[in-house]
Amino acid sequence: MPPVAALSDQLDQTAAIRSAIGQALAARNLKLPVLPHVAGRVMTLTQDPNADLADLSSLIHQDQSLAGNVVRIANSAAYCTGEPIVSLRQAVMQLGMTTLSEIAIAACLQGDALTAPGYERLRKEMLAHAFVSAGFAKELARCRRSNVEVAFLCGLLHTIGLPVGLATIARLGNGRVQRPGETEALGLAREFQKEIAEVVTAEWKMPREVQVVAVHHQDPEAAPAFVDETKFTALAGRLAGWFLKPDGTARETLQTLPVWAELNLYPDEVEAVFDRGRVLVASLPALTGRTA
Amino acid sequence: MSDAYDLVVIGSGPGGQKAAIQGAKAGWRVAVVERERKVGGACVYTGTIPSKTLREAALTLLAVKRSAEFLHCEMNAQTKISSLMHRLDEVLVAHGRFIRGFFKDNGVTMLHGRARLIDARTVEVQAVDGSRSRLTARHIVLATGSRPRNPPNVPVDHESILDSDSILSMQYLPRSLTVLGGGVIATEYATIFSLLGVKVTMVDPGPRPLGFLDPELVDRFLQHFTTHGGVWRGRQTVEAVSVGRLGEVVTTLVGGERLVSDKLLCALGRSANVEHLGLAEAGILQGKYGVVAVDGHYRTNVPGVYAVGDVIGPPALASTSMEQGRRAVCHALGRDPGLAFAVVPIGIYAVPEIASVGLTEAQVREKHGGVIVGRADFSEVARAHIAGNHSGMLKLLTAPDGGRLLGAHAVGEGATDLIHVGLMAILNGNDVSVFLENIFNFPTLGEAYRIAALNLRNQVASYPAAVAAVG
Repeated sequence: MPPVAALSDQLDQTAAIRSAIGQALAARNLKLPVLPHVAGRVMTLTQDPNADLADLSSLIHQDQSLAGNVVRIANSAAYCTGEPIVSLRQAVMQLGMTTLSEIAIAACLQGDALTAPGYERLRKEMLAHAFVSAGFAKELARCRRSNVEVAFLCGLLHTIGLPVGLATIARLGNGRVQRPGETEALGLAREFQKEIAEVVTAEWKMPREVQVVAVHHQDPEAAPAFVDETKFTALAGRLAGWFLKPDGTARETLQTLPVWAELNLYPDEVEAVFDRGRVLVASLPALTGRTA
Repeated sequence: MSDAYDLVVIGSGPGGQKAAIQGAKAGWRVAVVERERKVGGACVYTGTIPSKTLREAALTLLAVKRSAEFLHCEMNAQTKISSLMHRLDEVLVAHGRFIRGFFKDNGVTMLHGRARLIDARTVEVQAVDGSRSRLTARHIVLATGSRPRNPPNVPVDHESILDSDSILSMQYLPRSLTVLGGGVIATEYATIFSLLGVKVTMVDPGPRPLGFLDPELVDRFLQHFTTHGGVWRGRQTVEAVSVGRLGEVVTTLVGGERLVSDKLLCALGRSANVEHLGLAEAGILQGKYGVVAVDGHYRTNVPGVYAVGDVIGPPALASTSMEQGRRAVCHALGRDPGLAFAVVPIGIYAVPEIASVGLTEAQVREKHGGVIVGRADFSEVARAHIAGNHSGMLKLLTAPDGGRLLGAHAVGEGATDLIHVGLMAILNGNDVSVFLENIFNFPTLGEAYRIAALNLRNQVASYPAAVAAVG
């Protein structure tokens, strides 16, 4: 990390952090935080002789950061045996309990900034959004007969730039620079979201679809490939946001977005996707162990 | 522009295309309504063309294995299916462009939306944004095709439990695949994935797959399938299918046996796409399994409304649908479509290919009081040896007089092309001697016709003995 403290007295705190993030991006020195409670549960599970692969798999599927780490490490030279791992399920099925345990532990231990202190509420919202987005992405993939497993990963990680950015801001704010407030932090995270997502998903050797979606979901038409996947993941994200934190947009307005027609989904099919929304939000506490 | 047409075709698959072009060539004002953004139907995007592309990849792999065994060529379990189908996008784009161009060149109007009959002369089109418009037509052809039939005890989620529309969305080859069904689609995918190194188990209530085909051909096919690691579980009924905690698929058979696999393909037939057509409102009768009922000219019970292709039920072949589309519009035009096709060739793109035309042994025996079967094993055909493809066979069938060719059946690579020689001989009423008295290129698979004809003729003199031998 750059010497933030040295800048603190002269620069505006937000500008200092902006500068530091820029340098961290240039140095490709970003790390994905792993949530402490998940880390603890992974540790407990892997030391429990009665735990099985299903338990670990279930846990990994529940956490955005851990999921990313598992796929990244499974694709590293130490574990990758040939073609890239493209989905969580594939990683779980192929690697087995022992290897997955190693990967999960490694994922838990590697980060020096496991949390985003001071931004817990934002982080919680982002996690909930990621899960519901993943659920919607799966539903839309089913409608389009696209790969459902990859769609889940795209939905879960398409906004990965935000939590990584937030964790980075929290780390930087730990020094002599005063930590920005939530609004400023979120603004900064959004400012760097695309660049961070590009670096993180590339370094993690995410499937090409996930990389493209994470970088281009805010402008799907600019995606160099996987345009359909980028469109429906972006739509999934929008739906997740609407269901989790209604912003006053009328349901009919969302249901008539041009993207539905671009994905060739007719009004009755759109209605069916919306009907699934309530189920997805209702299942959120079970998935994350938290309230939505 | 007016919304009044001479002909409105609903569906742009093979049957719809030929119907539209036939009408346009006659100077009719024609519109085609297609619910998908892309033209061509399931045949192009989820059926015939994608599966054959994957099949070609599997065959290429087999060829590499055969010619370079010393390299220990083997599929990596992690191989992405998309990498095996890298040419598919090009093929689909080219095909879609061709169909659109063909429609445009012939003045056919393409409309994107879901069509519904208001009455025998009016079609309502719901655009994908929900807006609606109406067309009128003197004639309507229903060519909406079919989709996979998924029974309630097989909860297709397109993730672990797939159907033939979603099977090719898989990103990587599973280690194991359970295939439910013993029909054409089940057989084709089972053999393709088996060839790619996937542990495939076919499960079906029937004693054998492809029960409508010559048993000897099916035996050859099964021998090939099981030799390459496939497992056939006939006479088995599936009680339930579920997804385990790891995403593995558990297939429970009646009797309690459980089969566990990474993925499952449900290929238990297809259902006609009739739900949105408004058949009841238009007074159109449906037949068994909900297909649109038609007569020999593909007319429904409502004058002016025709139906062709999968929506009218078997044989549900792209080739047949095209001809049905042409004939339906010829009838509407008052033109003679030519002699009704009594002989329909069947081609199954399994590995190896299976093809059949004309009568089966049982049918010849029943109609003519006996049958003589001439066989050519591909092990006797030089071209098959050269290609390393010597496990196939060709059968020719005649009545006990050894005269007119009544049936031809083949299994082995090239069978779907090879069968057309038999088709033409049957259509022309040729005697099997036509294969003995004419010249075939050498070395070709066509030589099998000579060998089979010789074998058949050699049995004629001692026919009673031959009958006994053939059974």
